[in-house]
Amino acid sequence: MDANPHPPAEDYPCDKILFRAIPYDTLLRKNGTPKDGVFLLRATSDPNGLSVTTTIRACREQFDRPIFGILSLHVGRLRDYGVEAFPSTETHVNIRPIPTRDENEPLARQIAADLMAMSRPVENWDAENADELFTARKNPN
Amino acid sequence: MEATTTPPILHRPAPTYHLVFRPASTDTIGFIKELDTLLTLENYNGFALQATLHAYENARRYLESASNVMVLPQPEFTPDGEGGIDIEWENNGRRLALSCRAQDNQSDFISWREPGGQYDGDAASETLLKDKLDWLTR
Repeated sequence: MDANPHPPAEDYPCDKILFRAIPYDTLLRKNGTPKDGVFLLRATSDPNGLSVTTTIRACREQFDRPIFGILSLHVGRLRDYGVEAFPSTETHVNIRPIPTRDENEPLARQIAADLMAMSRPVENWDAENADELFTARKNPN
Repeated sequence: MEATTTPPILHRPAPTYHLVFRPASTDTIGFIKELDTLLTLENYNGFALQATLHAYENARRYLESASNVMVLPQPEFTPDGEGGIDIEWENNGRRLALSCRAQDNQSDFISWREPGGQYDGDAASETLLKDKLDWLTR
């Protein structure tokens, strides 16, 4: 989390993957699927845009206590959708522009639903070598 | 001439700031119990999961008002992470969300979406919630 603005990550390739945490259990439905609310901005965690990370490890390490899953987002799809990644550190990125609920609740909900639709759940996100497993699945050869 | 006497006051009306909750239907009581649990949630990972009294009382008022005129579909309750409560319904691809915000300087809001459509919304009111619940279950 940063004091913005930062320049957009023009050097990120379109196939770069970013990660968003599910930080508390009530963001999961009773059947275990994540709710769109995972992608709503929260003042505490998303002061400068939607907070995501470049690694699964960094995603987990943002929080003091266990999280409940991680979703992946494809930078190319984000760009096609009209939002951009703004790195704030080596491993932390803000996605903008996304309104807060106070600014525009229907649009905030629409973007949250669209990001949920374009995201994928990360398997084995809680494994010690989760990033290596993810990279191996992405590049099987 | 008979002397007039002031009858003793046996009952004082409740102050106007008291919330009056009417008896709720059996289904609504189940929802309210679920809603009640949000008052005792432990905050977690820096997120305010425990609902503020302001958010809880508004959420309860909206639900009880709607349940007086219809059988409510099962809602899903989610802490918004800032002390507020999101109440969501889905039916045949239609989505309806009531956001009960944490503080009284924030506006409660109702959002809705047709299948494949875009979210629309307006400031929350008991009348709008009833209209949209009717739309959701039509």
